[in-house]
Amino acid sequence: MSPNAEAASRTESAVDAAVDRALDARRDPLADDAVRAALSLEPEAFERVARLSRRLELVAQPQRARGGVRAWSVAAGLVCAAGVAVLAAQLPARPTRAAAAAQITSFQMSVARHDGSSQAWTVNDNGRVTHERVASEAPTPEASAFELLLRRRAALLTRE
Amino acid sequence: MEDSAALQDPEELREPRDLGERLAAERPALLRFLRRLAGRAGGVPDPEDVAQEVLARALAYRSFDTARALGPWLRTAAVNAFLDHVARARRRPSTLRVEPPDESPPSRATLDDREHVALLLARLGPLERELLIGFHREGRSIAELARDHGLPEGTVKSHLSRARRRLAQEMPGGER
Repeated sequence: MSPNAEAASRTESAVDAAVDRALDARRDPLADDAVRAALSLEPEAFERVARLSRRLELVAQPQRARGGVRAWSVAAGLVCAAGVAVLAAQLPARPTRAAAAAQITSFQMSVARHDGSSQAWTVNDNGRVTHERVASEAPTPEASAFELLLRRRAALLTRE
Repeated sequence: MEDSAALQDPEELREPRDLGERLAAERPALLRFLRRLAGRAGGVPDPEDVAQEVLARALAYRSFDTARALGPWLRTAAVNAFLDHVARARRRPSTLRVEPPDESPPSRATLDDREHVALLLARLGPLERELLIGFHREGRSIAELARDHGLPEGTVKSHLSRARRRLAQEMPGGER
């Protein structure tokens, strides 16, 4: 090691030692007299001290920053959950397919088939169900089941 | 009526002038010193401003012992003035910023710094990382850390010191 490098190393150590003493005592190294005195002999060390000081601030803070994000996420999640709960309380229970169909009072539905034909059902307000088939000789099983469901609902409406 | 200057001690009349001349002669060295101090660190005060402030203070410091070497005194005063500027700039960054405003979003620099810190923390050994975080983030004392890890306090300080050295290292590819 050259004499200059050795001298630089010694002074660097003096700054670092002063910085360590300040930090161990939880003092701001840039406001510490011993650090300032050491820096007057080795001004180039300021950049390193300032960098360490800045990074130690970040070491001390990220938990708070991330905690903040987490806190916001949790808060937002709670608000959303509360909103959903309120909405869920106001809405009827999720209807089953049959129950949904049973709630229909006036409805028109058409089904397009792959073969290009289509079927349409209409339930009017008085419960009458009309069925229209276009270019299809027989309803598909699904269409038949749906038609049956609609007719049952229409029968109920008619009785009421 | 006697000339008031004639009543004064000739030494007193000569000192300020001599001090002024000596300060003027020290100015280039002081400026070089402040430029070394400022280095490449961003957001630091202008060395010219600090030098001027230090020289003005020195000139006003009438009780300065002229037998003392001026250089070390000026350097100490310069470090103090410089760091006072830095501290004030930290408190009021917008009022002391003289460089053109940064076009990038302000949070980007902090994010980069956080990434650097996270990377440097990851590179530390488990014990050094634990001690550094325990001391600087969780606010635990050296005595507590020493007790919890079954180490002498001096060893904890040594680990902390090594961890800080590594934390202060420049990142590959340059430091902002």
